[in-house]
Amino acid sequence: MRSRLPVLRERKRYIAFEAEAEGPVISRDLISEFHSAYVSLFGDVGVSVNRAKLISLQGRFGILMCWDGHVEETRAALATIYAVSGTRVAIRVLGVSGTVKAATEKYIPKLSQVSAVEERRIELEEISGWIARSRGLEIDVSRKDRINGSDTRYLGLTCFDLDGGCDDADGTSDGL
Amino acid sequence: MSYYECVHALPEGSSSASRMALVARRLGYQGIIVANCSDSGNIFNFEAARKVRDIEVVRGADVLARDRKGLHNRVTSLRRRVPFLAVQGVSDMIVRAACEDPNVDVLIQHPEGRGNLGIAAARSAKQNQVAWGFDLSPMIRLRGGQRSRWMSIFRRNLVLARKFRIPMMITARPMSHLDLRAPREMIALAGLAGMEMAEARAALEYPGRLLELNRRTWVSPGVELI
Repeated sequence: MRSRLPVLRERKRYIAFEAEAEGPVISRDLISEFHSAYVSLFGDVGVSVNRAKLISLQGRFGILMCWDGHVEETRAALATIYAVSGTRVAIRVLGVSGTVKAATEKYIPKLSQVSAVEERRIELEEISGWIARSRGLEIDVSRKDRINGSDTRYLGLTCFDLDGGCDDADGTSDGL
Repeated sequence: MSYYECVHALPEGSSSASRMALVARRLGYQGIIVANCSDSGNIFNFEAARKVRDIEVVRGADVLARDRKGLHNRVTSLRRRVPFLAVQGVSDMIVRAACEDPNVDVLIQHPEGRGNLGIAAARSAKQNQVAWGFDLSPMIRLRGGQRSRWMSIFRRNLVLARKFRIPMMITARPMSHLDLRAPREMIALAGLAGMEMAEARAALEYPGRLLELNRRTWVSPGVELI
Protein backbone atom coordinates (compact mmCIF):
# COMPACT_ATOMS: atom_id res chain seq x y z
CA MET A 1 0.00 0.00 0.00
CA ARG A 2 1.35 3.40 -0.95
CA SER A 3 1.93 5.77 1.86
CA ARG A 4 -0.01 8.99 2.02
CA LEU A 5 1.59 12.03 0.43
CA PRO A 6 3.51 14.12 2.95
CA VAL A 7 1.49 17.23 2.05
CA LEU A 8 -1.72 15.41 2.89
CA ARG A 9 -0.51 14.28 6.29
CA GLU A 10 -1.86 16.18 9.24
CA ARG A 11 0.69 17.69 11.55
CA LYS A 12 0.97 16.51 15.09
CA ARG A 13 1.59 18.37 18.30
CA TYR A 14 3.09 16.91 21.43
CA ILE A 15 1.90 18.25 24.76
CA ALA A 16 4.29 17.78 27.67
CA PHE A 17 2.44 17.69 30.96
CA GLU A 18 2.88 17.07 34.65
CA ALA A 19 0.33 15.05 36.61
CA GLU A 20 0.27 16.56 40.09
CA ALA A 21 -1.51 13.93 42.13
CA GLU A 22 -2.07 12.76 45.67
CA GLY A 23 -0.89 9.26 44.80
CA PRO A 24 0.68 7.31 41.94
CA VAL A 25 -1.07 7.66 38.58
CA ILE A 26 -1.17 4.71 36.16
CA SER A 27 -1.01 5.57 32.46
CA ARG A 28 -3.93 3.27 31.56
CA ASP A 29 -6.20 5.00 34.07
CA LEU A 30 -5.04 8.43 33.01
CA ILE A 31 -5.72 7.85 29.30
CA SER A 32 -9.09 6.34 30.14
CA GLU A 33 -9.97 9.42 32.20
CA PHE A 34 -8.71 11.74 29.46
CA HIS A 35 -10.78 9.90 26.86
CA SER A 36 -13.84 10.09 29.07
CA ALA A 37 -13.30 13.84 29.66
CA TYR A 38 -12.78 14.45 25.94
CA VAL A 39 -15.90 12.53 24.92
CA SER A 40 -17.91 14.33 27.58
CA LEU A 41 -16.75 17.72 26.29
CA PHE A 42 -16.68 17.23 22.51
CA GLY A 43 -18.61 14.03 21.84
CA ASP A 44 -17.73 11.18 19.49
CA VAL A 45 -17.35 13.53 16.53
CA GLY A 46 -14.79 15.60 18.39
CA VAL A 47 -12.81 12.50 19.33
CA SER A 48 -12.79 11.29 15.73
CA VAL A 49 -11.40 14.63 14.52
CA ASN A 50 -8.64 14.78 17.11
CA ARG A 51 -7.31 11.35 17.92
CA ALA A 52 -5.17 12.27 20.88
CA LYS A 53 -3.09 9.56 22.50
CA LEU A 54 -0.70 9.22 25.38
CA ILE A 55 2.87 8.74 24.16
CA SER A 56 4.58 8.28 27.50
CA LEU A 57 4.12 8.72 31.22
CA GLN A 58 7.18 8.44 33.40
CA GLY A 59 6.60 9.26 37.01
CA ARG A 60 4.52 12.37 36.99
CA PHE A 61 5.69 13.69 33.61
CA GLY A 62 4.14 12.63 30.35
CA ILE A 63 3.67 13.46 26.68
CA LEU A 64 0.36 13.45 24.86
CA MET A 65 -0.03 13.61 21.08
CA CYS A 66 -2.83 15.52 19.39
CA TRP A 67 -3.46 16.89 15.92
CA ASP A 68 -2.40 20.42 15.04
CA GLY A 69 -5.30 22.83 15.42
CA HIS A 70 -6.79 20.93 18.33
CA VAL A 71 -4.28 21.92 21.00
CA GLU A 72 -6.67 24.25 22.81
CA GLU A 73 -9.37 21.58 22.87
CA THR A 74 -6.89 19.06 24.27
CA ARG A 75 -5.72 21.60 26.82
CA ALA A 76 -9.32 22.18 27.92
CA ALA A 77 -9.99 18.45 28.18
CA LEU A 78 -6.84 18.00 30.29
CA ALA A 79 -7.98 20.84 32.54
CA THR A 80 -11.28 19.09 33.24
CA ILE A 81 -9.53 16.02 34.69
CA TYR A 82 -9.75 16.31 38.46
CA ALA A 83 -9.48 12.69 39.61
CA VAL A 84 -7.97 9.48 38.23
CA SER A 85 -9.41 6.29 39.76
CA GLY A 86 -10.44 8.14 42.87
CA THR A 87 -7.11 9.94 43.35
CA ARG A 88 -7.20 13.70 43.14
CA VAL A 89 -5.04 14.93 40.29
CA ALA A 90 -4.33 18.14 38.39
CA ILE A 91 -2.80 18.01 34.93
CA ARG A 92 -0.43 20.90 34.30
CA VAL A 93 0.55 21.55 30.70
CA LEU A 94 4.27 22.32 30.59
CA GLY A 95 4.51 23.12 26.89
CA VAL A 96 3.63 22.16 23.33
CA SER A 97 6.09 21.05 20.71
CA GLY A 98 6.23 19.63 17.18
CA THR A 99 8.34 16.57 17.95
CA VAL A 100 8.64 14.14 20.82
CA LYS A 101 12.33 14.87 21.07
CA ALA A 102 11.83 18.62 21.41
CA ALA A 103 9.03 18.17 23.91
CA THR A 104 11.19 15.87 26.01
CA GLU A 105 14.29 18.05 25.87
CA LYS A 106 12.49 21.32 26.47
CA TYR A 107 9.86 20.49 29.03
CA ILE A 108 10.52 17.17 30.76
CA PRO A 109 13.12 17.60 33.51
CA LYS A 110 15.93 15.06 33.49
CA LEU A 111 16.14 15.10 37.24
CA SER A 112 13.24 15.38 39.57
CA GLN A 113 13.32 15.06 43.28
CA VAL A 114 11.64 11.97 44.63
CA SER A 115 9.05 12.68 47.27
CA ALA A 116 10.60 12.07 50.63
CA VAL A 117 8.57 10.42 53.34
CA GLU A 118 9.34 11.78 56.73
CA GLU A 119 7.93 10.24 59.86
CA ARG A 120 7.23 13.55 61.46
CA ARG A 121 4.18 14.84 63.19
CA ILE A 122 3.01 18.41 62.97
CA GLU A 123 1.29 20.00 65.92
CA LEU A 124 0.22 23.54 65.23
CA GLU A 125 -2.48 25.58 66.86
CA GLU A 126 -5.02 25.04 64.10
CA ILE A 127 -3.90 21.82 62.47
CA SER A 128 -2.16 18.61 63.33
CA GLY A 129 -1.22 15.49 61.37
CA TRP A 130 1.59 13.46 59.84
CA ILE A 131 3.78 14.61 56.98
CA ALA A 132 2.80 12.31 54.12
CA ARG A 133 5.37 13.64 51.69
CA SER A 134 7.37 16.71 50.83
CA ARG A 135 8.76 18.09 47.61
CA GLY A 136 10.87 21.21 47.60
CA LEU A 137 9.00 23.72 49.71
CA GLU A 138 5.72 21.89 49.41
CA ILE A 139 4.48 19.60 52.16
CA ASP A 140 1.45 17.33 52.18
CA VAL A 141 0.03 16.56 55.59
CA SER A 142 -2.39 13.72 56.20
CA ARG A 143 -5.15 14.13 58.71
CA LYS A 144 -7.45 11.55 60.20
CA ASP A 145 -10.53 13.69 60.02
CA ARG A 146 -12.03 14.68 56.70
CA ILE A 147 -11.13 18.12 55.43
CA ASN A 148 -14.09 20.45 55.20
CA GLY A 149 -15.04 21.89 51.84
CA SER A 150 -12.65 19.83 49.75
CA ASP A 151 -12.28 16.23 48.59
CA THR A 152 -8.50 16.05 48.95
CA ARG A 153 -6.77 13.51 51.17
CA TYR A 154 -3.96 15.80 52.25
CA LEU A 155 -3.60 19.30 53.54
CA GLY A 156 -1.34 21.33 51.27
CA LEU A 157 1.19 23.31 53.29
CA THR A 158 4.63 24.77 52.71
CA CYS A 159 7.82 25.24 54.71
CA PHE A 160 6.74 28.83 55.20
CA ASP A 161 3.73 27.63 57.20
CA LEU A 162 5.80 25.47 59.53
CA ASP A 163 9.02 27.21 60.35
CA GLY A 164 9.09 30.39 58.36
CA GLY A 165 10.70 28.84 55.24
CA CYS A 166 14.13 29.54 53.86
CA ASP A 167 15.03 32.92 52.42
CA ASP A 168 17.05 31.67 49.48
CA ALA A 169 14.49 29.18 48.26
CA ASP A 170 13.24 29.83 44.77
CA GLY A 171 10.07 27.84 45.30
CA THR A 172 10.31 25.62 42.23
CA SER A 173 8.30 22.44 42.37
CA ASP A 174 11.36 20.26 42.27
CA GLY A 175 13.43 22.29 44.68
CA LEU A 176 16.49 21.65 42.53
CA MET B 1 -0.58 40.73 31.34
CA SER B 2 -1.14 40.24 35.04
CA TYR B 3 -3.46 37.38 35.80
CA TYR B 4 -5.05 36.95 39.20
CA GLU B 5 -6.98 34.09 40.72
CA CYS B 6 -9.42 34.19 43.60
CA VAL B 7 -8.74 31.28 45.98
CA HIS B 8 -10.15 29.79 49.18
CA ALA B 9 -7.41 28.81 51.60
CA LEU B 10 -7.32 26.93 54.90
CA PRO B 11 -9.51 26.59 56.96
CA GLU B 12 -12.17 26.87 54.26
CA GLY B 13 -10.15 25.00 51.67
CA SER B 14 -7.53 22.30 52.13
CA SER B 15 -4.37 24.19 51.15
CA SER B 16 -2.69 27.05 52.93
CA ALA B 17 -2.42 30.46 51.32
CA SER B 18 1.34 30.00 50.85
CA ARG B 19 0.84 26.66 49.04
CA MET B 20 -1.72 28.31 46.79
CA ALA B 21 0.71 31.14 46.12
CA LEU B 22 3.57 28.76 45.26
CA VAL B 23 1.47 26.75 42.83
CA ALA B 24 -0.18 29.83 41.33
CA ARG B 25 3.21 31.39 40.65
CA ARG B 26 4.38 28.22 38.96
CA LEU B 27 1.28 28.26 36.76
CA GLY B 28 1.89 31.83 35.63
CA TYR B 29 -0.30 33.98 37.85
CA GLN B 30 0.96 37.34 39.05
CA GLY B 31 -1.20 37.32 42.12
CA ILE B 32 -3.80 35.54 44.17
CA ILE B 33 -6.64 36.92 46.22
CA VAL B 34 -7.39 34.84 49.29
CA ALA B 35 -11.12 35.38 49.54
CA ASN B 36 -12.48 33.11 52.21
CA CYS B 37 -16.08 33.40 53.26
CA SER B 38 -16.38 36.11 55.88
CA ASP B 39 -17.73 33.73 58.55
CA SER B 40 -15.32 30.81 58.07
CA GLY B 41 -12.74 32.04 60.60
CA ASN B 42 -9.27 33.47 60.22
CA ILE B 43 -7.12 32.47 57.26
CA PHE B 44 -4.45 30.00 58.38
CA ASN B 45 -1.00 31.62 58.45
CA PHE B 46 -1.72 34.32 55.89
CA GLU B 47 1.53 36.13 56.61
CA ALA B 48 3.49 33.05 55.47
CA ALA B 49 2.05 33.50 51.98
CA ARG B 50 3.61 36.96 51.75
CA LYS B 51 7.05 35.33 52.00
CA VAL B 52 6.57 33.66 48.63
CA ARG B 53 8.47 35.84 46.21
CA ASP B 54 7.37 37.12 42.78
CA ILE B 55 3.68 36.80 43.46
CA GLU B 56 1.29 39.22 45.08
CA VAL B 57 -0.91 37.78 47.79
CA VAL B 58 -3.92 39.89 48.72
CA ARG B 59 -6.59 39.35 51.30
CA GLY B 60 -10.13 39.59 50.00
CA ALA B 61 -13.55 38.51 51.19
CA ASP B 62 -16.32 36.39 49.75
CA VAL B 63 -19.68 37.28 51.25
CA LEU B 64 -22.30 34.60 51.63
CA ALA B 65 -25.49 36.21 52.87
CA ARG B 66 -29.04 34.96 53.21
CA ASP B 67 -30.93 38.25 53.07
CA ARG B 68 -30.55 41.81 51.87
CA LYS B 69 -29.92 43.29 55.31
CA GLY B 70 -27.27 40.71 56.19
CA LEU B 71 -25.53 41.37 52.89
CA HIS B 72 -25.53 45.12 53.41
CA ASN B 73 -24.15 44.80 56.94
CA ARG B 74 -21.33 42.48 55.92
CA VAL B 75 -20.39 44.46 52.83
CA THR B 76 -20.30 47.73 54.78
CA SER B 77 -18.17 46.24 57.56
CA LEU B 78 -15.72 44.53 55.18
CA ARG B 79 -15.36 47.29 52.59
CA ARG B 80 -12.77 49.32 54.48
CA ARG B 81 -10.78 46.28 55.50
CA VAL B 82 -10.27 44.46 52.18
CA PRO B 83 -9.48 45.70 48.67
CA PHE B 84 -11.50 42.93 47.01
CA LEU B 85 -15.07 42.10 47.92
CA ALA B 86 -17.05 39.39 46.17
CA VAL B 87 -20.61 38.28 46.79
CA GLN B 88 -22.02 34.87 46.00
CA GLY B 89 -25.26 35.16 44.07
CA VAL B 90 -27.18 32.47 45.92
CA SER B 91 -30.67 33.83 45.27
CA ASP B 92 -32.48 36.36 43.10
CA MET B 93 -32.79 38.71 46.05
CA ILE B 94 -29.07 38.60 46.84
CA VAL B 95 -28.21 39.10 43.17
CA ARG B 96 -30.36 42.24 42.97
CA ALA B 97 -29.06 43.57 46.29
CA ALA B 98 -25.42 42.98 45.31
CA CYS B 99 -25.87 44.64 41.92
CA GLU B 100 -27.43 47.68 43.58
CA ASP B 101 -24.60 48.07 46.11
CA PRO B 102 -21.63 50.12 44.80
CA ASN B 103 -19.46 48.71 47.61
CA VAL B 104 -19.55 45.27 46.00
CA ASP B 105 -16.72 44.56 43.56
CA VAL B 106 -17.79 41.28 42.01
CA LEU B 107 -20.97 39.25 42.00
CA ILE B 108 -20.10 35.60 41.51
CA GLN B 109 -22.54 33.43 39.60
CA HIS B 110 -23.75 30.51 41.67
CA PRO B 111 -22.34 27.18 40.38
CA GLU B 112 -25.78 25.57 40.43
CA GLY B 113 -27.33 28.39 38.47
CA ARG B 114 -29.33 29.76 41.39
CA GLY B 115 -29.79 33.52 41.45
CA ASN B 116 -31.08 34.72 38.12
CA LEU B 117 -28.99 37.43 36.51
CA GLY B 118 -31.72 39.37 34.72
CA ILE B 119 -31.90 42.62 32.79
CA ALA B 120 -32.70 44.69 35.90
CA ALA B 121 -29.70 43.21 37.72
CA ALA B 122 -27.49 43.87 34.70
CA ARG B 123 -28.61 47.48 34.49
CA SER B 124 -27.89 48.01 38.21
CA ALA B 125 -24.52 46.25 37.92
CA LYS B 126 -23.52 48.54 35.08
CA GLN B 127 -24.62 51.63 37.00
CA ASN B 128 -22.83 50.62 40.22
CA GLN B 129 -19.72 49.16 38.54
CA VAL B 130 -20.30 45.68 39.92
CA ALA B 131 -18.47 43.08 37.84
CA TRP B 132 -19.87 39.63 37.18
CA GLY B 133 -17.69 36.72 38.15
CA PHE B 134 -18.06 33.48 36.25
CA ASP B 135 -17.19 30.43 38.28
CA LEU B 136 -15.71 27.80 35.96
CA SER B 137 -15.52 25.01 38.55
CA PRO B 138 -18.72 23.34 37.24
CA MET B 139 -17.01 23.11 33.85
CA ILE B 140 -14.29 21.04 35.54
CA ARG B 141 -16.40 19.06 38.00
CA LEU B 142 -19.67 18.37 36.24
CA ARG B 143 -20.30 15.95 33.39
CA GLY B 144 -23.11 15.35 30.91
CA GLY B 145 -26.50 16.98 31.31
CA GLN B 146 -25.63 18.95 34.42
CA ARG B 147 -22.68 20.58 32.67
CA SER B 148 -24.66 21.38 29.53
CA ARG B 149 -27.38 23.01 31.67
CA TRP B 150 -24.74 25.03 33.47
CA MET B 151 -23.18 26.05 30.13
CA SER B 152 -26.52 27.28 28.79
CA ILE B 153 -26.96 29.48 31.90
CA PHE B 154 -23.37 30.69 31.48
CA ARG B 155 -24.03 31.67 27.86
CA ARG B 156 -27.24 33.49 28.77
CA ASN B 157 -25.43 35.51 31.43
CA LEU B 158 -22.58 36.18 29.03
CA VAL B 159 -24.97 37.67 26.47
CA LEU B 160 -26.34 40.01 29.14
CA ALA B 161 -22.86 41.00 30.32
CA ARG B 162 -21.87 41.81 26.74
CA LYS B 163 -25.04 43.74 26.04
CA PHE B 164 -24.65 45.96 29.13
CA ARG B 165 -20.83 46.02 28.95
CA ILE B 166 -20.43 44.70 32.47
CA PRO B 167 -16.85 43.87 33.43
CA MET B 168 -16.31 40.14 33.74
CA MET B 169 -14.05 37.97 35.85
CA ILE B 170 -13.39 34.25 35.61
CA THR B 171 -12.27 32.00 38.42
CA ALA B 172 -12.10 28.30 39.19
CA ARG B 173 -12.76 29.06 42.89
CA PRO B 174 -10.02 26.67 44.00
CA MET B 175 -10.37 25.11 47.44
CA SER B 176 -7.08 23.26 47.08
CA HIS B 177 -3.88 23.73 45.08
CA LEU B 178 -5.06 20.82 42.92
CA ASP B 179 -8.07 22.89 41.87
CA LEU B 180 -5.90 25.68 40.48
CA ARG B 181 -5.75 25.84 36.69
CA ALA B 182 -3.20 27.74 34.61
CA PRO B 183 -4.34 30.93 32.86
CA ARG B 184 -4.18 29.34 29.40
CA GLU B 185 -6.31 26.46 30.59
CA MET B 186 -8.81 28.87 32.09
CA ILE B 187 -8.95 30.72 28.77
CA ALA B 188 -9.47 27.43 26.93
CA LEU B 189 -12.28 26.42 29.30
CA ALA B 190 -13.93 29.84 29.07
CA GLY B 191 -13.65 29.59 25.28
CA LEU B 192 -15.58 26.33 25.32
CA ALA B 193 -18.25 27.91 27.49
CA GLY B 194 -18.73 30.70 24.94
CA MET B 195 -16.28 33.45 25.83
CA GLU B 196 -13.96 34.91 23.25
CA MET B 197 -10.25 34.69 23.90
CA ALA B 198 -9.83 38.45 24.39
CA GLU B 199 -12.77 38.51 26.80
CA ALA B 200 -11.33 35.62 28.81
CA ARG B 201 -7.93 37.33 29.02
CA ALA B 202 -9.54 40.57 30.17
CA ALA B 203 -11.59 38.61 32.70
CA LEU B 204 -8.44 37.07 34.18
CA GLU B 205 -6.75 40.46 34.33
CA TYR B 206 -9.76 42.20 35.87
CA PRO B 207 -9.02 41.46 39.57
CA GLY B 208 -5.56 43.02 39.19
CA ARG B 209 -7.02 46.20 37.71
CA LEU B 210 -9.69 46.27 40.40
CA LEU B 211 -7.11 45.97 43.19
CA GLU B 212 -5.13 48.82 41.71
CA LEU B 213 -8.24 51.04 41.64
CA ASN B 214 -9.37 50.07 45.14
CA ARG B 215 -6.00 50.89 46.65
CA ARG B 216 -6.32 54.49 45.56
CA THR B 217 -8.36 56.91 47.69
CA TRP B 218 -11.55 58.06 46.06
CA VAL B 219 -13.37 61.01 47.61
CA SER B 220 -16.40 60.64 45.36
CA PRO B 221 -17.03 58.89 42.04
CA GLY B 222 -14.32 60.07 39.63
CA VAL B 223 -12.51 62.25 42.21
CA GLU B 224 -9.26 60.89 43.63
CA LEU B 225 -7.35 62.14 46.65
CA ILE B 226 -3.69 62.34 45.61
